Amino acid sequence: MEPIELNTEILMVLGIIGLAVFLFIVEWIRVDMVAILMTVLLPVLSLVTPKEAFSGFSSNAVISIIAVIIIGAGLDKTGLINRVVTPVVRIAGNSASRVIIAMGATVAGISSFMQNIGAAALFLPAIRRVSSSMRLPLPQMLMPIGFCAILGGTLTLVGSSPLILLNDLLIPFNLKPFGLFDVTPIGAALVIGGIASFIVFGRLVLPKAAAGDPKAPQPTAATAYEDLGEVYELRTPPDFSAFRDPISVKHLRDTYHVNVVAFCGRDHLKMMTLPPDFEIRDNADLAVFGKKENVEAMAADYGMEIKEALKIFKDDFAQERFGILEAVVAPRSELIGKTLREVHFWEQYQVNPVALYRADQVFLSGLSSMVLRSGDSLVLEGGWDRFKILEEKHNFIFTTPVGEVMKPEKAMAAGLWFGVALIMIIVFKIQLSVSLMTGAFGMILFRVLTIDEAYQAVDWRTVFLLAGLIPLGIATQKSGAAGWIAQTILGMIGQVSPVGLLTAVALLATFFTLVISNVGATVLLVPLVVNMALASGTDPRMAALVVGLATSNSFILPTHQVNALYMGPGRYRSIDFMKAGGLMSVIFIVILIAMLVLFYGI
Amino acid sequence: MSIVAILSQHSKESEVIAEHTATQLGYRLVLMDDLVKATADTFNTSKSDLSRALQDRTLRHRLFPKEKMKHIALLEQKLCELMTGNDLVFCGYLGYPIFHEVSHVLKVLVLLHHGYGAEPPFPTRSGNQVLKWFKQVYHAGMEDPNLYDLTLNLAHMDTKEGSDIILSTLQQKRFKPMTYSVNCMSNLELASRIKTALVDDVPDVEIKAHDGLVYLYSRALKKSQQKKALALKESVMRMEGVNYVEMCKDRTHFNSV
Repeated sequence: MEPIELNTEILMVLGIIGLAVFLFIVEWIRVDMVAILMTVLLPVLSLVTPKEAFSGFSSNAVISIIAVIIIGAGLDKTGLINRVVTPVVRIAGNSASRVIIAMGATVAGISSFMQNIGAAALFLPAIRRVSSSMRLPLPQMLMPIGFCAILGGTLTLVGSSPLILLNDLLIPFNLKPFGLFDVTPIGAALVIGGIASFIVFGRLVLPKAAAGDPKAPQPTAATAYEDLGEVYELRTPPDFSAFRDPISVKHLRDTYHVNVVAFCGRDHLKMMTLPPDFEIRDNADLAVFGKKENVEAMAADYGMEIKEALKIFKDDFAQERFGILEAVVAPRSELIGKTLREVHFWEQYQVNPVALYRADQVFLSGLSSMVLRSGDSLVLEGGWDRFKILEEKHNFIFTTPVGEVMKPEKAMAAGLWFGVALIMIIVFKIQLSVSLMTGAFGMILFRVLTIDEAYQAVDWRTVFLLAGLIPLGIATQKSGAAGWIAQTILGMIGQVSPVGLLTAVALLATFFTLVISNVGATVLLVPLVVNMALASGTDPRMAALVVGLATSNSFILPTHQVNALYMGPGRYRSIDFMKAGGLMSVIFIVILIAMLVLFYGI
Repeated sequence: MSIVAILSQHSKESEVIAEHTATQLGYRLVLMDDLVKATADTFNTSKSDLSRALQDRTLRHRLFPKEKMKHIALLEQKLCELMTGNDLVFCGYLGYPIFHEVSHVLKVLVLLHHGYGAEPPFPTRSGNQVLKWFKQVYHAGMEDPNLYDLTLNLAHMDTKEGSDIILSTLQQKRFKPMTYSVNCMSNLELASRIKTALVDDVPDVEIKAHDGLVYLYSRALKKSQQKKALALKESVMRMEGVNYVEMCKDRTHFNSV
């Protein structure tokens, strides 16, 4: 191979790669905006043609991603996937290990055809139910199953965005594309390895239940959150408002950590949710939620009478009308970076926030002014009809089912078109994007979901991220930057065996996926490692495959969407992910390289 | 920093007085037509519909009384908004209950009575309509001097003299805005906003607002309509500036708050 000289074009590409990596890390602008910046910057600097700059939007990868998401949404909508959960739980019995094996394997299987985050979110309510009914600590179940959702993305070529992208990135090198199930043996070994590692080492790496309380009660949807308090009924005295500043709901929450969840004034009209600024008045009956000692302190300070039991509100707090449940801020939520006050949360939804869980901390006051993050877990009180409305906005993932508007009657149609897509890929060897889009189109045509629901289901951020970064990969290859980097690195490390090279590639991909997105890591690394492999006599397809798989090795930090989602409900801290994730990452790389040696004979 | 409200069935003469007063004081002048136009622009409503609401009962309003109430509510809400800036001279026949609540508004009645023994002037058609309209909407006689701070009889003076009397009366301390009266204005503004929002559902709703506390009363809302009352209460709770809502069960209760 001719040595590649460093020239202006290569320097410009390296500069742009550096800029992209920097912007990914600092997150000054959203990742999809970084990708769009690439589509604009590269043709302006004549590093790619305009056609190449926007070729990502028509790439097989992007079309496949869109189609997979629609298919996943269709399967979800019909409850087809939910039907798998009940028998799995039955099979698992009441052993924690069996539960982790059964649910882990199932979520991995589902994740192989759905977005990882979709599969993880789907299983969250089931995991909570199993955890509470079997009195198993939730933190010991969530992380293993979450990791399995990520590992499941390595089972098929449509399991994760990097793998979907892989074949498109091989085109410039005229390398043979991978088939749908070409990665399955490796993925299966990874899933098995992951589950086994938690069975064997789980008690060493997973957070333990609270000391002295081996079976700490877990919050459920049906009952009040015992660790946060209970519902009490109080009455305000006739002179409550006299000679003092107005007492608002917010004031009581901030001062006593007591939430006023219902109010009945002199007009005997019961309001079951109250805005933060609502003033408590004389001769009124209140329902409050909080710990006993806090409620007693509040009542003593204001001369309120605590009733022995719920009287006025007895029927209103019946399970089927009102309740308390936990909602996790979804990764794509519009609420991220905003406070509840800014978005006029109460005015829109009329549910009361009672507590916020973030990592291992719980916040009981100042909730309206806290800036929300992905993975934050909000405990909300309100009517089930209000929760339904909230759920439809897709800003939260509810840890217990709210009663979705499902279409079970369309399950057969959804299954049929899913099968059609698979048959087209496996039997007729029709291109992935065409087959998957056929399946998606069929689902919409048969009204499994409407076209608008399909549009809503698509994660456009991922689409733009993919489409925007593909031209960067083209520029990296076209300019010779990839070759130059490859030659430079090989020059530094000298001759290495194929196993050594692929292990180094796996480590590089693991590192990059933690700091920039998995798609970004794939787009940048594939041209580079293919060039390295070609220069060192290693199979370039395997090098690219290692990148496609190792970019799923994102366990050490809670940056992966699945980890961010489970962090709140599991009350995990970053150190928990470092411990369990560190072990998982090592096992991942060992199994990956071992399987490449065994199955592909490198 | 005051407000002058000139009410009269004699629109031509009272407008001259209002114009002169506004010019001398450097205040904004708002006539009925100005109010209608401003309301139409703000709320995207038809001017002709608003003007129709200011007439005596038409056949349409007999058939659709809610529509008239809604338009009057919009006009009153706009009037409240205009009043918040003070420095205003208003001339017309709308908004009496609003002016009555704000102590620093100088309420002026302009008459044209020729005195003892003289024949009362033949009422004009439009003047008659204004008096009827006022009675129908506000349940009070527009020319009842007890409702006003100042009564000007143009049979005994000309318009310029009338304006001068207004100007000198305005010098009185009680017609300067005070904290309490400014507070009353913002309470009225809130109440008018709520009324506009509710009048479609409950045309006869009466509202009192005080520092975010809102009291509602409607004769039409029967005891059995608890669900509707609660829905109304919750919709009012969602409005900006509202901290508490109470539905008063009867007029006695409403009057006592």
